Amino acid sequence: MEKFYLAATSNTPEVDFDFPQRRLSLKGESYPESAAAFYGDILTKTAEFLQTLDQEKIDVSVQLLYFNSSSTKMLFSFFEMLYQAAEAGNAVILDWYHDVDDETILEFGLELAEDFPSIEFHAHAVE
Amino acid sequence: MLKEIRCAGDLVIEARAISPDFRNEEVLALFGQQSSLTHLPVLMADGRPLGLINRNIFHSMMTKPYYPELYSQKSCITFMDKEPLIVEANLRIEQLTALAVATGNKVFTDGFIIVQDGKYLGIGQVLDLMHAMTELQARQHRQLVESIEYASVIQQSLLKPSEIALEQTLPGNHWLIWQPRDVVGGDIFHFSQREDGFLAILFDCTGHGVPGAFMTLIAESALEQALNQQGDRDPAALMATINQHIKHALNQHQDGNRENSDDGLDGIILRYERSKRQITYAGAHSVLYSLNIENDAPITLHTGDRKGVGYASTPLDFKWHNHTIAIDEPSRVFMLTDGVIDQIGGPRKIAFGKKRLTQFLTEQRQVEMPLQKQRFIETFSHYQGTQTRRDDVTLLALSVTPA
Repeated sequence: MEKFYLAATSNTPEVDFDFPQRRLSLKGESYPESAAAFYGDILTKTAEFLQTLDQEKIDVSVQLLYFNSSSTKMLFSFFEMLYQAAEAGNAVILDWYHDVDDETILEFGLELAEDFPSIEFHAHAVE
Repeated sequence: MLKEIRCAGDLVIEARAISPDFRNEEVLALFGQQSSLTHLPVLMADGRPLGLINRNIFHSMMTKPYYPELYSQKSCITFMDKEPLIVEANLRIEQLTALAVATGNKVFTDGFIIVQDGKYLGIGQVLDLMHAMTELQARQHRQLVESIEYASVIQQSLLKPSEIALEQTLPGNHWLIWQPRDVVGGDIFHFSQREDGFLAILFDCTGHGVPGAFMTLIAESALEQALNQQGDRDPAALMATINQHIKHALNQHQDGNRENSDDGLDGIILRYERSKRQITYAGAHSVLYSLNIENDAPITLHTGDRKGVGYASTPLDFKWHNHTIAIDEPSRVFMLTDGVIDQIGGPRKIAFGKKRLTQFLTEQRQVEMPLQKQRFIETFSHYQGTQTRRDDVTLLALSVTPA
């Protein structure tokens, strides 16, 4: 599968999904007018990608400063897919970046870790 | 008032045109006689445009060595642009602009030819087109803004009874900030005096702006139905009924209906019963803060259930839980939407966060309610600084003293 890349805008994150390298990265802020429209393609591509994997390692890096509630739902769907892939025997490693003082983003990450235990979760406090 | 410019025909400048029988020396003479003449359209006998002669290009050709000798007696089509932009008079300004941009540079210097049923009408200039387009966009923007402003009048009317009830039930003992990000929004509150106490509700519907406001109307009607069915003493039952109502209203009760919306709300339903000296609340993916005014006990964060209301992923029969908070001493409770916690700001450009809110409320725990409101607004806007609002912001503070 080819790489999938979207540059960041003021209200959407940079999406850098390097499928050949099994590296998926989200970075920036997420509050598009329609989260369903923005994430539709991303989720479809991710689902296609995950179907091709068997016993592989996937590195997911998330560095989001802000996401609104509709983006949150989309992110949940995204992690749900990764969780299924992990349950199916792949190794999913989630690197979750947050500002050292930003407990809001950290808490969200910790909730994800709780909801999706088979994803290997690493929180990284950024100074 | 100026005429509204909607299509190419509204931009017509009548301009002299010539036939291909004209020789270049005649064109030279025409340009010589009339220094303001910058373009000469060339028409066929039936009035169809053949091309456009640009004064500057024409002159630069005719001053080349031997060109006058070679071309003076030739037809004027020699140096004519044979593919000028030609548009029908009824072409809309938006489409014309797109065409002009696609055609490129020459349209900016040469303009375009306007025809009706293929026959020459006149020429149009890009500057006029830009004026028209700017005017059009301003008009469309104005219509949109006026429409949303009127929607805001409706949304505020919907909230008015609750504001009045707050004033009557808790005069001087409440404060409210309701700030939609985009004039109208997805946050809504309800407050009403009830037997032996009151009912206070805060909903944060998905989205903001117009879609958010649509959701608040659905939420409001769902709440009304739920109150009719469940009465006002059981917040968890109200939440469950609202869930069912929204799921049905938006056809989100069927599985696998991916084409449909996936919208709903987070929020808190809170019932105060004076004689029981307690608050009963149910929370959907929301946090409620409570504190005792008279001691130093830390602020309590009540989280309720981590399940939103109405969303496709929320089961139709999901049961929320009731929780109670004892009100044995003068207390304050704070209901808020995530726009407060998540607002980006400060030197590190990070969320306002629960910690900062808790700190503010702790420091201001005994401050009179109106002053506390004022200080919160100052603190919050200072924190936000130059950052834009990310979401709708609502905060409802209630001060309750047991009888």
